[in-house]
Amino acid sequence: LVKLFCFLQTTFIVEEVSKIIKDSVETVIGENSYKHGRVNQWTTSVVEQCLIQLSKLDKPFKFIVNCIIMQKNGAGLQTASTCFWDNTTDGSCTVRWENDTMYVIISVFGLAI
Amino acid sequence: MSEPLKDKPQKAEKKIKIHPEGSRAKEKTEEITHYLRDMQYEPLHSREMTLTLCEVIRTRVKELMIPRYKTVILVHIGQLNGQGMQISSRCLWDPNFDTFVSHSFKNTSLFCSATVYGIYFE
Repeated sequence: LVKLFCFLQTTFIVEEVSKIIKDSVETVIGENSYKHGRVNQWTTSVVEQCLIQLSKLDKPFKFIVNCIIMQKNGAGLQTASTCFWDNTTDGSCTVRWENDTMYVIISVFGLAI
Repeated sequence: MSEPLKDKPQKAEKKIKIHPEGSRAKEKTEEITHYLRDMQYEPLHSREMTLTLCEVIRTRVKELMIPRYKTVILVHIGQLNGQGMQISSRCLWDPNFDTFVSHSFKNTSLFCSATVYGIYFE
Protein backbone atom coordinates (compact mmCIF):
# COMPACT_ATOMS: atom_id res chain seq x y z
CA LEU A 1 0.00 0.00 0.00
CA VAL A 2 2.90 2.31 0.83
CA LYS A 3 4.48 1.51 -2.56
CA LEU A 4 1.21 2.33 -4.33
CA PHE A 5 0.99 5.63 -2.46
CA CYS A 6 4.60 6.50 -3.41
CA PHE A 7 3.87 5.57 -7.02
CA LEU A 8 0.83 7.85 -7.14
CA GLN A 9 2.76 10.69 -5.54
CA THR A 10 5.46 10.63 -8.21
CA THR A 11 3.57 9.94 -11.44
CA PHE A 12 1.70 12.21 -13.78
CA ILE A 13 -2.01 11.37 -13.42
CA VAL A 14 -3.87 12.55 -16.52
CA GLU A 15 -7.39 12.54 -14.98
CA GLU A 16 -6.29 14.70 -12.09
CA VAL A 17 -4.63 17.27 -14.37
CA SER A 18 -7.52 17.23 -16.84
CA LYS A 19 -9.94 18.14 -14.06
CA ILE A 20 -7.71 21.03 -12.97
CA ILE A 21 -7.59 22.38 -16.53
CA LYS A 22 -11.37 22.11 -17.09
CA ASP A 23 -12.12 23.83 -13.79
CA SER A 24 -9.70 26.67 -14.61
CA VAL A 25 -11.22 27.33 -18.03
CA GLU A 26 -14.78 27.22 -16.78
CA THR A 27 -13.99 29.55 -13.89
CA VAL A 28 -12.08 32.11 -15.96
CA ILE A 29 -13.96 32.11 -19.28
CA GLY A 30 -17.28 30.32 -18.76
CA GLU A 31 -19.93 31.73 -21.08
CA ASN A 32 -18.07 34.94 -22.00
CA SER A 33 -18.03 35.92 -25.68
CA TYR A 34 -14.75 36.39 -27.51
CA LYS A 35 -13.47 39.96 -26.99
CA HIS A 36 -10.10 40.92 -28.40
CA GLY A 37 -9.37 43.25 -25.51
CA ARG A 38 -9.88 40.54 -22.90
CA VAL A 39 -8.14 37.58 -24.52
CA ASN A 40 -4.74 38.45 -23.07
CA GLN A 41 -6.15 38.56 -19.56
CA TRP A 42 -8.05 35.28 -20.07
CA THR A 43 -5.05 33.32 -21.31
CA THR A 44 -2.91 34.66 -18.48
CA SER A 45 -5.55 33.85 -15.85
CA VAL A 46 -6.27 30.35 -17.18
CA VAL A 47 -2.58 29.48 -17.30
CA GLU A 48 -1.84 30.94 -13.87
CA GLN A 49 -4.86 29.21 -12.30
CA CYS A 50 -3.69 25.90 -13.75
CA LEU A 51 -0.16 26.39 -12.43
CA ILE A 52 -1.37 27.33 -8.95
CA GLN A 53 -3.56 24.22 -8.73
CA LEU A 54 -0.80 22.02 -10.17
CA SER A 55 1.72 23.31 -7.62
CA LYS A 56 -0.76 22.50 -4.84
CA LEU A 57 -0.56 18.83 -5.86
CA ASP A 58 2.91 19.00 -4.25
CA LYS A 59 4.48 16.55 -6.69
CA PRO A 60 8.16 16.56 -7.71
CA PHE A 61 7.38 17.85 -11.21
CA LYS A 62 8.23 20.78 -13.42
CA PHE A 63 5.19 21.95 -15.42
CA ILE A 64 4.73 23.64 -18.78
CA VAL A 65 1.25 25.03 -19.47
CA ASN A 66 0.33 26.25 -22.96
CA CYS A 67 -2.98 27.92 -23.79
CA ILE A 68 -4.48 28.87 -27.17
CA ILE A 69 -7.66 30.93 -27.46
CA MET A 70 -9.01 31.28 -30.99
CA GLN A 71 -12.07 33.13 -32.19
CA LYS A 72 -14.59 31.00 -34.06
CA ASN A 73 -14.84 32.18 -37.63
CA GLY A 74 -14.31 29.11 -39.75
CA ALA A 75 -10.51 29.21 -39.77
CA GLY A 76 -8.60 25.99 -39.26
CA LEU A 77 -5.90 25.26 -36.68
CA GLN A 78 -3.56 22.29 -36.29
CA THR A 79 -1.50 21.70 -33.14
CA ALA A 80 1.06 18.98 -32.46
CA SER A 81 3.66 18.27 -29.82
CA THR A 82 6.48 15.79 -29.42
CA CYS A 83 8.68 15.19 -26.41
CA PHE A 84 12.06 13.75 -25.59
CA TRP A 85 11.64 12.58 -22.00
CA ASP A 86 11.22 9.63 -19.65
CA ASN A 87 7.99 7.80 -20.57
CA THR A 88 7.70 6.11 -17.19
CA THR A 89 7.53 9.32 -15.13
CA ASP A 90 6.60 12.19 -17.45
CA GLY A 91 3.26 12.88 -19.09
CA SER A 92 1.04 15.37 -20.81
CA CYS A 93 -2.62 16.27 -20.91
CA THR A 94 -4.44 18.32 -23.55
CA VAL A 95 -7.98 19.64 -23.10
CA ARG A 96 -10.05 21.13 -25.92
CA TRP A 97 -12.88 23.34 -24.73
CA GLU A 98 -15.26 25.62 -26.61
CA ASN A 99 -18.22 27.87 -26.21
CA ASP A 100 -20.30 29.69 -28.86
CA THR A 101 -17.61 32.19 -29.87
CA MET A 102 -14.20 30.66 -29.22
CA TYR A 103 -12.04 27.55 -29.08
CA VAL A 104 -9.64 27.02 -26.17
CA ILE A 105 -6.86 24.41 -26.25
CA ILE A 106 -4.76 23.90 -23.11
CA SER A 107 -1.79 21.57 -22.91
CA VAL A 108 -0.01 20.67 -19.71
CA PHE A 109 3.34 18.85 -19.75
CA GLY A 110 4.68 17.41 -16.49
CA LEU A 111 8.35 16.44 -16.26
CA ALA A 112 9.61 14.59 -13.21
CA ILE A 113 12.53 16.07 -11.36
CA MET B 1 31.75 14.03 1.11
CA SER B 2 33.01 13.65 -2.43
CA GLU B 3 29.59 13.17 -4.06
CA PRO B 4 28.10 16.61 -3.37
CA LEU B 5 31.34 18.13 -4.72
CA LYS B 6 30.97 16.09 -7.90
CA ASP B 7 27.44 17.37 -8.45
CA LYS B 8 28.27 21.05 -7.98
CA PRO B 9 30.74 21.42 -10.88
CA GLN B 10 28.23 19.66 -13.14
CA LYS B 11 25.50 22.15 -12.26
CA ALA B 12 27.85 25.12 -12.70
CA GLU B 13 28.74 23.75 -16.13
CA LYS B 14 25.05 23.61 -16.99
CA LYS B 15 24.63 27.30 -16.20
CA ILE B 16 27.27 28.33 -18.72
CA LYS B 17 25.92 26.03 -21.38
CA ILE B 18 22.37 27.38 -21.50
CA HIS B 19 22.77 30.41 -23.73
CA PRO B 20 24.89 28.88 -26.52
CA GLU B 21 22.58 25.84 -26.70
CA GLY B 22 19.53 28.09 -26.68
CA SER B 23 20.76 29.95 -29.74
CA ARG B 24 21.58 26.71 -31.59
CA ALA B 25 18.09 25.39 -30.86
CA LYS B 26 16.71 28.68 -32.16
CA GLU B 27 18.49 28.09 -35.49
CA LYS B 28 16.79 24.71 -35.72
CA THR B 29 13.32 26.19 -35.23
CA GLU B 30 14.04 28.89 -37.81
CA GLU B 31 14.62 26.16 -40.38
CA ILE B 32 10.86 25.56 -40.46
CA THR B 33 10.52 28.56 -42.78
CA HIS B 34 12.04 26.46 -45.57
CA TYR B 35 9.26 23.91 -45.23
CA LEU B 36 6.42 26.43 -45.14
CA ARG B 37 7.55 29.22 -47.41
CA ASP B 38 5.16 28.56 -50.32
CA MET B 39 2.59 26.41 -48.63
CA GLN B 40 -1.16 27.10 -48.74
CA TYR B 41 -3.32 26.09 -45.78
CA GLU B 42 -5.17 22.82 -46.40
CA PRO B 43 -6.52 20.84 -43.43
CA LEU B 44 -5.09 17.40 -44.24
CA HIS B 45 -1.76 18.61 -45.55
CA SER B 46 -1.34 21.05 -42.65
CA ARG B 47 -2.02 18.30 -40.15
CA GLU B 48 0.73 16.16 -41.68
CA MET B 49 3.04 19.17 -41.87
CA THR B 50 2.53 19.96 -38.16
CA LEU B 51 3.55 16.42 -37.20
CA THR B 52 6.44 16.41 -39.66
CA LEU B 53 7.76 19.71 -38.32
CA CYS B 54 7.55 18.40 -34.75
CA GLU B 55 9.59 15.35 -35.69
CA VAL B 56 12.11 17.35 -37.71
CA ILE B 57 12.70 19.84 -34.91
CA ARG B 58 12.98 17.07 -32.32
CA THR B 59 15.54 15.19 -34.44
CA ARG B 60 17.61 18.30 -35.05
CA VAL B 61 17.57 19.29 -31.36
CA LYS B 62 18.59 15.73 -30.39
CA GLU B 63 21.53 16.04 -32.79
CA LEU B 64 22.78 18.94 -30.66
CA MET B 65 23.43 16.23 -28.03
CA ILE B 66 22.80 18.48 -25.05
CA PRO B 67 23.24 16.16 -22.07
CA ARG B 68 20.77 15.95 -19.17
CA TYR B 69 18.05 17.97 -20.92
CA LYS B 70 14.53 16.80 -21.71
CA THR B 71 12.78 18.63 -24.54
CA VAL B 72 9.15 19.40 -25.36
CA ILE B 73 8.34 20.71 -28.85
CA LEU B 74 5.05 22.43 -29.71
CA VAL B 75 4.03 23.37 -33.25
CA HIS B 76 0.86 25.25 -34.22
CA ILE B 77 -0.19 25.84 -37.85
CA GLY B 78 -3.30 27.92 -38.43
CA GLN B 79 -5.19 29.42 -41.32
CA LEU B 80 -5.21 33.19 -41.75
CA ASN B 81 -8.86 34.14 -41.93
CA GLY B 82 -9.08 37.37 -39.98
CA GLN B 83 -9.80 35.60 -36.69
CA GLY B 84 -8.43 36.83 -33.39
CA MET B 85 -6.09 34.52 -31.51
CA GLN B 86 -3.74 34.38 -28.54
CA ILE B 87 -1.17 31.72 -27.60
CA SER B 88 0.31 31.92 -24.08
CA SER B 89 2.57 29.76 -22.03
CA ARG B 90 3.77 29.67 -18.42
CA CYS B 91 6.09 27.27 -16.70
CA LEU B 92 6.82 26.11 -13.19
CA TRP B 93 10.53 25.31 -13.38
CA ASP B 94 14.03 26.34 -12.39
CA PRO B 95 14.86 29.55 -14.33
CA ASN B 96 18.59 29.03 -13.79
CA PHE B 97 18.69 25.86 -15.90
CA ASP B 98 15.45 25.63 -17.90
CA THR B 99 14.63 27.71 -20.93
CA PHE B 100 12.69 27.85 -24.18
CA VAL B 101 13.10 29.15 -27.73
CA SER B 102 10.30 30.13 -30.04
CA HIS B 103 9.92 31.12 -33.68
CA SER B 104 6.91 32.11 -35.73
CA PHE B 105 6.36 32.40 -39.44
CA LYS B 106 3.59 33.83 -41.61
CA ASN B 107 2.82 33.78 -45.32
CA THR B 108 -0.32 34.88 -47.19
CA SER B 109 -2.49 31.93 -46.16
CA LEU B 110 -1.13 30.46 -42.93
CA PHE B 111 0.89 31.15 -39.82
CA CYS B 112 3.09 28.78 -37.87
CA SER B 113 4.46 28.98 -34.34
CA ALA B 114 7.09 26.54 -33.04
CA THR B 115 8.38 26.41 -29.45
CA VAL B 116 11.09 24.22 -27.95
CA TYR B 117 11.31 23.92 -24.14
CA GLY B 118 14.50 22.58 -22.57
CA ILE B 119 14.12 21.17 -19.06
CA TYR B 120 17.16 20.18 -17.00
CA PHE B 121 16.94 16.69 -15.59
CA GLU B 122 18.59 16.39 -12.21
